[in-house]
Amino acid sequence: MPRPENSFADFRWNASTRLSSLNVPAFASGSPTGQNMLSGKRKRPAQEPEESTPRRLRSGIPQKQLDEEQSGHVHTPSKSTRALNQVEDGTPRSILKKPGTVEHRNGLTPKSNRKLLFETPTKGGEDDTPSATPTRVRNADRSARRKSTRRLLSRTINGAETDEDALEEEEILAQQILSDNEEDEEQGVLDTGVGDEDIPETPSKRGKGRPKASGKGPGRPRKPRSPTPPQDLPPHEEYFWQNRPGGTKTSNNTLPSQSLLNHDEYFQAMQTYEDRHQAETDFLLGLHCRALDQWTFELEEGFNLCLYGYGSKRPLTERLAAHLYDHLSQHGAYRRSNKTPKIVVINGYSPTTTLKEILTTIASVLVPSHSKLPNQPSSLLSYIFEQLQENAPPHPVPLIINSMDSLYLRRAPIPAMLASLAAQPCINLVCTVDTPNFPLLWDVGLKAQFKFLFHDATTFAPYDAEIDVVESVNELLGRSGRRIGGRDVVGFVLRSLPENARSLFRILVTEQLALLLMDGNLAGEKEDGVIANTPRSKSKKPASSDTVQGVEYRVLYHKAVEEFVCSSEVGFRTLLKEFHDHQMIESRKDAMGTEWCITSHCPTHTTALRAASYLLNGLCSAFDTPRTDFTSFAWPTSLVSDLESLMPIDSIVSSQMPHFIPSEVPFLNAGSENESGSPAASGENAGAQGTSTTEAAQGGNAFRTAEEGSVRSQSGGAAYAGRGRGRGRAVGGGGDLLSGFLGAGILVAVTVGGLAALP
Amino acid sequence: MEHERCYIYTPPETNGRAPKRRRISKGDPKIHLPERLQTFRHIWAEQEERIRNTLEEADRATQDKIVDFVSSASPSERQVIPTGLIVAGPSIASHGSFFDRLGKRIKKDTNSAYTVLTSADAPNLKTLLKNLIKKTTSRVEDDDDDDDMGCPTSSARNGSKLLGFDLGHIQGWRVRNPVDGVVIAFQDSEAFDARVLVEMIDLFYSWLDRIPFVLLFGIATSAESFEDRLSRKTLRYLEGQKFDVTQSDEIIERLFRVTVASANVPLRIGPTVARRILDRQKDHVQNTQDFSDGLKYAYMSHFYASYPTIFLKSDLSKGDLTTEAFEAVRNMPSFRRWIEAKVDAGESRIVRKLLDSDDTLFDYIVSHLKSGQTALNGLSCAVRVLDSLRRSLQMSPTARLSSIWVRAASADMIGSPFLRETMLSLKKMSPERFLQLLETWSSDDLDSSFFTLDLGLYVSELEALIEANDGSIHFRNQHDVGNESLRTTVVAQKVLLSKHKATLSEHDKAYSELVGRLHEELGAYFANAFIDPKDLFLSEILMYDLKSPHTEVFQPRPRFAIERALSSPHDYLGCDCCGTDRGEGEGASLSATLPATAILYQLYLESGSLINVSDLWSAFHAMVGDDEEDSEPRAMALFQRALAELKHLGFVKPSRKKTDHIAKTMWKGL
Repeated sequence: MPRPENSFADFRWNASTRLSSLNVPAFASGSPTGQNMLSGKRKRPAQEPEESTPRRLRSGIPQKQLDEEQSGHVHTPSKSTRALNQVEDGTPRSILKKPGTVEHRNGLTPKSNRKLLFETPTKGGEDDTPSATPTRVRNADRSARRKSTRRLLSRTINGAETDEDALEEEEILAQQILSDNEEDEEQGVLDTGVGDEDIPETPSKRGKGRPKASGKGPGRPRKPRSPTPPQDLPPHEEYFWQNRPGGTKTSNNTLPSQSLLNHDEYFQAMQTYEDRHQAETDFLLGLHCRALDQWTFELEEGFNLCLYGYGSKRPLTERLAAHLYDHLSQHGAYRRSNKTPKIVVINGYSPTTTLKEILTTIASVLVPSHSKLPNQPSSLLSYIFEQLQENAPPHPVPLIINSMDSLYLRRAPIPAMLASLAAQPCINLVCTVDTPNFPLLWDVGLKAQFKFLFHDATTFAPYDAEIDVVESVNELLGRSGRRIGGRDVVGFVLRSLPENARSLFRILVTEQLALLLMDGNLAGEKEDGVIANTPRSKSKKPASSDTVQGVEYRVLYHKAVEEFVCSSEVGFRTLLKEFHDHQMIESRKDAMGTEWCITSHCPTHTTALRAASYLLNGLCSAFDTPRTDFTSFAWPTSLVSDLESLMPIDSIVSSQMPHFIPSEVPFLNAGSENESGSPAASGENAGAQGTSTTEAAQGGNAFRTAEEGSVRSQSGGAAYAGRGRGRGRAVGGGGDLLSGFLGAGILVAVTVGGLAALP
Repeated sequence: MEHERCYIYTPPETNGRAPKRRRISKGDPKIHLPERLQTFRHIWAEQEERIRNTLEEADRATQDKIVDFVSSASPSERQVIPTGLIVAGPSIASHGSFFDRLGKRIKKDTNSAYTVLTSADAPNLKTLLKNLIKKTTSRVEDDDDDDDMGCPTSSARNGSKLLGFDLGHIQGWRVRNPVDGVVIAFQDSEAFDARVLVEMIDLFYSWLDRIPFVLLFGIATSAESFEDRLSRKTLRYLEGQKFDVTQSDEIIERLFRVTVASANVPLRIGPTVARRILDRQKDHVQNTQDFSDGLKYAYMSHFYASYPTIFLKSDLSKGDLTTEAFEAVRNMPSFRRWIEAKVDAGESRIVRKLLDSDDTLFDYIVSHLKSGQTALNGLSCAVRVLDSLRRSLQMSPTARLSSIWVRAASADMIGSPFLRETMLSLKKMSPERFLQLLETWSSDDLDSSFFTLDLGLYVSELEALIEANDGSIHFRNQHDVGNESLRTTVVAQKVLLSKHKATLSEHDKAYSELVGRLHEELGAYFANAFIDPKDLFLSEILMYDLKSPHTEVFQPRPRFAIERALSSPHDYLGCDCCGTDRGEGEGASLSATLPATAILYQLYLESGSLINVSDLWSAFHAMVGDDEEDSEPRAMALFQRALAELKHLGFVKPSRKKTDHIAKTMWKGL
């Protein structure tokens, strides 16, 4: 029984209330008082030996101790440190080389640093005697400014010294100044601190009192600076620490280009990944869902909702949409009619979302008949307002905008227009925002119009739809060039080629696919039992036929001529040359001297075949033809859109298409099963060959494990043909899923064409 | 559907959700929910009515003036454009509603066309005119091609087509709809380009013989700065008049007075929430709408989430209630305190009955709700008394009614220096002030049932005194220091200070006595009225004072939430694997079980402003990679996903300084 004086928060028992009851040491320690900081600084030398990393010790402690400590280096208990030995560079704790490291490697004795001050630090100074310190008289008649100018000049002339040296000098100078100031106060602490350690070595030099000639001695022990960054700085200090000039010294390591995954590899890798926090994430979503009633109530009272927090909030808005749908279905307007409540959903993260599209969708809900809508967004908006005033809907229309703070919805008129839309009482806006600084998008006026209630909806769900991971990382690293190559090139090339060339490529792929499909189906039926028994031995199976891989030139030419793609052999060759140049196809001659033409961008992967077959299946049922029998297919929900991007499929695939396709099935949900059910005999034998060729090319780098190799040789057809591409690793391992889409699309085109021609 | 851009939601075919939504647990939060919400709507409707009245009243004086100005400006034969400069103050957010209300008044009271233009409508003169024409003549047409813009009537009349930005449209429209004037309001005149304004005024001036324009400029800064932006030639075309709008903080104060500190409010927000709303107003929004939103949300939260609020329903009978509601009341802290007090007082039989019998409890609740409301109304009334007292005495610093109320409601008034100081200066009050004070009180329509002092008695006594003093109002107050003088005497080289009181007449003494009595009575009244609302039984029902949902809902901290989610996911996930062995410091919180993005975020936090992705990857791989060799692509996939997420959230951006480096853009906690 909840305590009565508690309200919303208690009932919702949402994430934020859970939070408040937990201890957060990280946050508590985030802001130490200045007092603590100071004392911590002072005490550091005393604590050093017990707690610090070995590298830190190196700076302040004599060699003897260092050697002892070296042994401790190995057995630090944490997992990360254990793994450290395998990684060639750096500890995982500090990614970047800390600036202190460089100085303190050679800075064993602080004395040398101190001395530098009194010498001129430039190397090529011709006016100074190198060893002697300048006399006091000479010093006196040099103004500080002249000195610094001179130093600057000589540095520029010599050019030898880098910024780092300059920085070092500055630091030394600063330390000199600081230590002069702090000497008095610091001395007491140091005497008891580091001073104690030094006593055993140089007992004679250290008296009890204040060491006067500390500059000369082997250690007026300077405060040793550690290479690890200072812990527990307040946020602003941390900012300045990390932004100090010259402070970021990073290594010059670069990421090997093949270590980044491409789309295929990424998706393949993610299929096998199971989130260990899946249960908790679901629970979190469940918690948020308990607030759906409350949110509905808030919407009813004329507020708009804004959900923020880490994680994709699309699952949540989907639930909310379902909830609102149920809720509104109870409304009187829908009792006795077959009308259903309309909920407008807008995905703001999609780059092609335009304001006009948004407004048109909203207008389609509000305006009863298909009257002509104004073209301009502004007049469309005022048209919507008029419609709302004239015949208001029976209840406010929910408008759900996912990722309203996306780049594409930030452009000038859009937020203002959305705000004026949200200000209408007939529209209930629910929006989600991802970035942490989204409130800056709206000024006071817009905020007043939006009338938002904000809710923390941290879901920890992956941003699957919102981010194109591979693309985004490539862009981040400035490697957008990478995408040109491999499969992606096909889309580009095809889009830039004339219609004839596209048709030719379609014909080629269709032919090749048809061959494969026939061959693959037969082989699959034949081999099922064999594979179940010896799944590892697949790649060793002998090649049954090499010839089915490609299409004969002659055949291809005739087909092309039949479809009026080209009229002469010369034209045919010219068209093919373009593909050759982009390494999209390759030609070969067999023993008989016949020329064959092969494209690597054709689905040899069984899964893609299955997907294509499934599409076929759906089409068959759509056209009332007997189905072919396929089971356990995986189907990507995005297939249709992917196909669309490659060719105008929407003209041939009817809009009812998705009804025949279970969109819930995650794509390639059971990779291994799919593999074991592989029917592609031809792919296998080609796989053996492909493996060898790629290995030859890449020096064994292509397949990292034997196990993987055996699995991947399934897609060996691709690897084999992909030799032309020369990116052994990137291509050989690729599941060629999307090229499968391409093929599937073509298959659809062919099938539909054939079906249409049948009766 | 995630790949579609815009679509209409269609529910999935399978309807497996129905059983899931039935709640089996005992504490069903929806008990009496409809009734509670109905009560909410009832109570809120009253408040909304008050708010609306207050807002209208606040604007009325200014609006009357503007309407007068507009109607008097209408006659033709003018050489200049009549221009109203409406100084609406810096709270831009409330300008829109002000101009809306103003437009309604103008349309209703004068025979004029009214159009509001904002700076968004006017990037240049052409667009401004187009928008103006469109809004004024309220045409619905496509304006994407100028060829179609020719208004059929005008083209028929003139034989030639008019362009879309020709003011001839308005002229033609005026022929069909005869109006006296065309009023154009510029809501945010500061945001307009000065050049556009100048050109526009020139143009309007040239059309003035055909279209009687009246311009209204909304000004957030000052009329002078507006004039500075225009050229002198342009200014010559204008004939200005300035109108001052009631500033929003003033309006907020009035709203507070009627919605919270008034004597007939069934439910109040508590001091914490009130302080938050007021602070937010002062610091950020300055918008009357937002105040009422905050108030509304507090009411919503109160009724939505708490069972016992059902008792606020006006005609409630015992039969409407379930036992849960009573159980909830028995769990309230104020109930416990009350019961304990009763036990201490030895009334254990009543206590037993209250605990056992719902009927008895119901009766008690009803009566205590009444008395509690009376007490709170008394408190509000006392606050108003105090406020008008301070204003009559012209005490500084001026304290707003709202702040006085907040102090009083948080039981911070009795014994406070604030009250003591006020009472002291009351004691020293001069007779003029006294009279003024009594007038203020009697005109302030304070409810006599709460304000128990007999003002009439004081008035008559004071009048009698004045009469006795030959009609002179000059009395000396015994307590006033101004009537004392210090006398310095030097005796044997020692300085002696002695106070000397001016001799007081009989009347003076009588007056001082009268003031003293008022002081005493008022002191007693305040001591009675300034109760601690939290001590009231059922104070949880009568006053909503939880900051928990309120603060987050109106002042979110999204950056903090995201940083928290990433830096300590355990707070949200509550999983066993992470966060159980959190030692001190950051290092302990980094473990391989964390979500990939959280790991990467930790590494990100530790790095400098420029990050080498290669090193980041090796560090990440060392964290998540296990001994199996084929784990690398998976780790890489996770790494890439985490990196992409960080980019999506805006934590990193590409850097051109070095290859494979990214730049850090956010520092935690700043």
